[in-house]
Amino acid sequence: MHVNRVWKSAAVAALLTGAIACAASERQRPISAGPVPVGAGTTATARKFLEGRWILESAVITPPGAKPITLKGTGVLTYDDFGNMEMNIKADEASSDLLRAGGIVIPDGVISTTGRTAIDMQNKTLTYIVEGQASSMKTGGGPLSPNKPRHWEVNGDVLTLTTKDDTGAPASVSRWKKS
Amino acid sequence: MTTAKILTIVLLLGAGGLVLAQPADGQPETFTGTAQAKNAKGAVSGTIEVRLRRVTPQFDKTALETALKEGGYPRFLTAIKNAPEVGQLVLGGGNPFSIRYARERVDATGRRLVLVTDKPVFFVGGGRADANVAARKGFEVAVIEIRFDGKGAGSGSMAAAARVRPDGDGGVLLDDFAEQLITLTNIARKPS
Repeated sequence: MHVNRVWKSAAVAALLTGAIACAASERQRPISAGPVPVGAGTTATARKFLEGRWILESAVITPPGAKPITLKGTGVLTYDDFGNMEMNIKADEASSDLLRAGGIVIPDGVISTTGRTAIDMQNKTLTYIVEGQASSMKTGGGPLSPNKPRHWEVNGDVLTLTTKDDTGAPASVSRWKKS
Repeated sequence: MTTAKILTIVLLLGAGGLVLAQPADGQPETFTGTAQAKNAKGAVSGTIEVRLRRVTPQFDKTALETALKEGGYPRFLTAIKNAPEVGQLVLGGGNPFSIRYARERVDATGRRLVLVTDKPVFFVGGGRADANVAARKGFEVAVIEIRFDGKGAGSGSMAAAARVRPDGDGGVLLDDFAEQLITLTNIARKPS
């Protein structure tokens, strides 16, 4: 149709304009902010280690006032080189039932979180900064709440993430293997 | 719009008879039948299929009851969306809708199922060209009741676009978008 052709032309023009604009900006020289520390124990090293895809090996979750629940299911955790994180866990029906009975919201057995991560090297914690939350530390939540810092431990290519309850006891412990 | 009290059945289902934690023999079940919607100007009918994997666990039922009682319809909606999918409803061979609430009672008179979806499944009269689409707002679930007699013959009713609210007396009111509940007939368990 005639109208479609007009819009297509407009879209192509817009794309070309964008491409030209991008090409112009690529000529600008990056501003140096000095060397980034990359030795052992640095944030850069930690980020590099986290980069990639992790497969859930095991997860144990302890709802408040309840016995620990071993989650059966599958999970994938992905970190990119910009510190963006995506976590998807699919629990089986029995695990989902137990978690919901423990007061944990897990619609259709899926736990899904997307956001950026902040690394605290001193306390060995990862904090998820989920979209729409000004500060991930301001609100509470259950053992899987993205608001809780993840205490990390590394053993070879296995990453263990632990959240703690108000008393400091483990509220969730998940083990992830690099794939 | 009509207001009925049929959802009282949903919340009081556990009050009498034998409430089962799983469908009768513990296996997923499929029911098929005919749905007929009527209003003052005419009628339309089509097939209905209910695929029931299990009934809602007790703690989810409690969560829904508490949500409605303490937080009204808004919290009920959140709770029903967080409840697990226990089955599916298919109308006229279309896309399936998630059933997130299923209760079953078996007593001397037969078997009764009450199902709630997490979305409206049909707006009777709301699809006309002159329909007031804004009037659909707030009708965000569907409620189905199916009764089987001792011989397994089933019939029932459906509020295909509904909302629920406490009646202030411990019961629940069901507002149906349609002028009349949809009639369900010839409901039979499909052989597996």
